[in-house]
Amino acid sequence: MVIEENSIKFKGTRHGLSIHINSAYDFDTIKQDLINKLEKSNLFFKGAKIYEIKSNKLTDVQRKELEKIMTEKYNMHVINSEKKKKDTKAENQIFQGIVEGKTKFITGTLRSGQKIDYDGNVVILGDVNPGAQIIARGNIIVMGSLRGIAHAGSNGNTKACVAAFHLDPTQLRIADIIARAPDGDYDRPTGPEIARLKDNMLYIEPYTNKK
Amino acid sequence: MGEVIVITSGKGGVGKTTTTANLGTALSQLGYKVVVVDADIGLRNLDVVMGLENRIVYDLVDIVEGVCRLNQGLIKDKRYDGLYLLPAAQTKDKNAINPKQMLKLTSELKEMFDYVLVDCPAGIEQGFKNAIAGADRAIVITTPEISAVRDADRIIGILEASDLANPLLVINRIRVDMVKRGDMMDIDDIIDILAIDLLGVVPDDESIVISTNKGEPAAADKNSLAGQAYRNIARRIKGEEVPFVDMDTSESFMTKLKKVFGLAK
Amino acid sequence: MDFLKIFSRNSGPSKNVAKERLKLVLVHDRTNCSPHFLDMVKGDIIKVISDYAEIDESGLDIKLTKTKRDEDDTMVPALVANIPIKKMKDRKGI
Repeated sequence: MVIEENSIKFKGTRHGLSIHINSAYDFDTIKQDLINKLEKSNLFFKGAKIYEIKSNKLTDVQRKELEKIMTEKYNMHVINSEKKKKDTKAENQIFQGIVEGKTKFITGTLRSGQKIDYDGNVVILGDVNPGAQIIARGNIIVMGSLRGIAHAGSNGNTKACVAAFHLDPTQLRIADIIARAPDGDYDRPTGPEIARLKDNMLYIEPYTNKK
Repeated sequence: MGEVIVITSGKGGVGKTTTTANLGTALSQLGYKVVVVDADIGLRNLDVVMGLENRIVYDLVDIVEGVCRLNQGLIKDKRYDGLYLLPAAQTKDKNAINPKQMLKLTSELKEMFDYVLVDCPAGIEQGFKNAIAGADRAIVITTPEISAVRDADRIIGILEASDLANPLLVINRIRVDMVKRGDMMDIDDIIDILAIDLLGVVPDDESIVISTNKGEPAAADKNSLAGQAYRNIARRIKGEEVPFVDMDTSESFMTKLKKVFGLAK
Repeated sequence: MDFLKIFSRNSGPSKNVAKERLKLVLVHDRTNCSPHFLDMVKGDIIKVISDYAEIDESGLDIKLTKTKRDEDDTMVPALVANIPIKKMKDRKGI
């Protein structure tokens, strides 16, 4: 449920209200937008439970200030962090769906500046150009050329793999291991290849259907 | 305490990124500690010109947002010890940072480096305002074309209005043969119109394309004419008096021959 | 190669054309003033001066350029009008 577009978005979740803040705006605008919104639908928000404030830029002090406005002026409740931890614990575990798990399919070419961040496996039916980025908690399979950046097992799964018909990435990451393309000229791959971690080293080998 | 220099032009494609990479290289050759900062968020290119694109893990936006520390975002150059790159984010847009954050970032970099060169995006919008926010000095790049000079004039006006008075001019891609024929505005024509001090002139040179292909700035190549021009500019930036290269030395053999026979003017 | 130029060009070196066009464009860029604005100024100047002198309206030239300010040598925009006067009017009656 999205109520209105601008610096602040309210979303209803099963835990309570999730407040999304667009960090492109400065804090004063954010504060004013919040007050305006609450003012507009005062009754609607009265007594509502605030589950989280999502923003990558707010400082703790600013966050507290927003919470204070909502709790004191509008009778809203902030769900305390202890309880939240319990709820989200399951979500933060390392993604285990590598053998069998949720998967996103993307049809078409990912171009420079595009970024896919998914908490599962990712399959691209197309190319991944330099400057594009795929981050997946599971495996990454590219049915085409992978020339951008790929990060598989992004939340720590070292069993994740990256495979492509033409595996020639600018940079490759699996879990927290990073490898990059060699400097200068090097032999480009001729067939499909797969990258995996073995003893904390990234190995790229030709893909044969025996493996 | 170092100095923050923004490299800007207004018009795109006149050589801001090439100039930033080359001046960074040339200044580090002179023994300075230099960081080149790509402020073109969403359309980064300085990394490929420097040949460092495969080493990027964090970027400018990550640093500003506190995702990583400043040191983690800096990428060391392949050849020169004192040269570092701070790449722009590619998957975000210009509004991901604001001038205040840029000012904070450049003032931190100033503590660590002798020169902080900021590669400004084209245009005069948010990205430009971010790029000039922390600058102590500005270098304006233009080419001898009406459109580029017009945009340079606009930029100079904006810079002067925002406390960056006395920007210095670099004229890029001069073609001596065309200037001689009278088919290209010469250095005097451009200075006459823009009325700012000249920092350097860079000839149109194939070696720039070749060096960009390889990801090695031309300033590192002793045989490149443009590279020489950039090395001269670097010495002028540090305050040395370097005479401007006489463009006649690159005169073609044919014109010389014609001169002998009294055919050329 | 030179003889080819005879066929390809007849209006002098193109850099002069570029320079003139650029100067004109910049005058307008720097002052934000339109040709319409200049026409209005021109009309009003003619009206005022006509009370005192007979002028050659076709020869009247008004343009924006820049000039150095006396005190600090910075360039400032200047309105330059060239007004050919045919003869002064008899001002006894005024």
